[in-house]
Amino acid sequence: MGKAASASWTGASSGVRPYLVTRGRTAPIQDYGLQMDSLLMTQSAPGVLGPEDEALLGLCAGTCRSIAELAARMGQPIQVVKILAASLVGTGALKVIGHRPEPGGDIQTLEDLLVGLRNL
Amino acid sequence: MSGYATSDAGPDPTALKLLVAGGFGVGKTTFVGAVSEISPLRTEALMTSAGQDSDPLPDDSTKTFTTVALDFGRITIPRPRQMIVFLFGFPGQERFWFSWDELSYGAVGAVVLADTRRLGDCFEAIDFFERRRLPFVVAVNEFEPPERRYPPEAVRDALGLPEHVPLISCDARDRQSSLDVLRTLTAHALSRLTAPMGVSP
Repeated sequence: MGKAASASWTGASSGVRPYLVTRGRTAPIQDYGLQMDSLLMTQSAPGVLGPEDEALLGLCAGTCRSIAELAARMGQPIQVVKILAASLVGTGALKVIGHRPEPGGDIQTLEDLLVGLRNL
Repeated sequence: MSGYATSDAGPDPTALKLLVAGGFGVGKTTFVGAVSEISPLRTEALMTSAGQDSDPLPDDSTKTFTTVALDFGRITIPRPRQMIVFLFGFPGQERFWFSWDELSYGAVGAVVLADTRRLGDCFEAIDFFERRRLPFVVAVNEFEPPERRYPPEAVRDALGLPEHVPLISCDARDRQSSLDVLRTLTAHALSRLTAPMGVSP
């Protein structure tokens, strides 16, 4: 799982327990509706950050990534990444981007998806 | 610290979710890997299993947590508008049903991968998506040489698959073949939205 990606930053902290990474939090203080398929992008870099925060902002710099992808690349459970990301969204360092269609989908979105898939 | 690229004010992409379900070893990871622009990633998700009736808990707690391994992939669609499609391959066993609810919320639809040597492995996934009325297609991952393959009608019969559910065969190792499955799924989901009410479940 994302060995190359995680080795670059977890080298020193690969044995760190999830509850340390989240500083004891088991849920975000405010979750901002984050789901495993929420897309995040780095907006700004606040001053002092933990190594995992740095890794998150680095991975989301200039490109949007989902919580699930970040979790895989960082070698952390999704819940841990949700907690870290929610804090960073709270400080404005990360922005939730993209929009989700209504459950069940709308016709225009599915038509565009079909055209897009046929072009691949 | 500085130097992070910040996002420009381009239009927000639309994020879509497709599911890939099926029994153990049926090729979910291969399928996700074939279509994904990133190599398939495996991650763990912490799932709530509140009020689960298929897996009674020994104590009287009503909520518990379990981690589920997910295969994850991504496809970026640049045109006609920017879309990011997420693929989640997840365990098809009944004991993971609770996680299907969470994962299937807001999904465009699902691919049920089937292996004709173990068709029984996908009954649960089919049943689940039918009940949730989530659009799905059944894709037979062809492991067998052509002379040993079953005709589609036989597979449909064996699965008890209604006529309106598309049944196709694919080679999960092949990108275009797997993309074809996603195209069929999307067309099927679309047809359900555009069909007159009550005609297609």
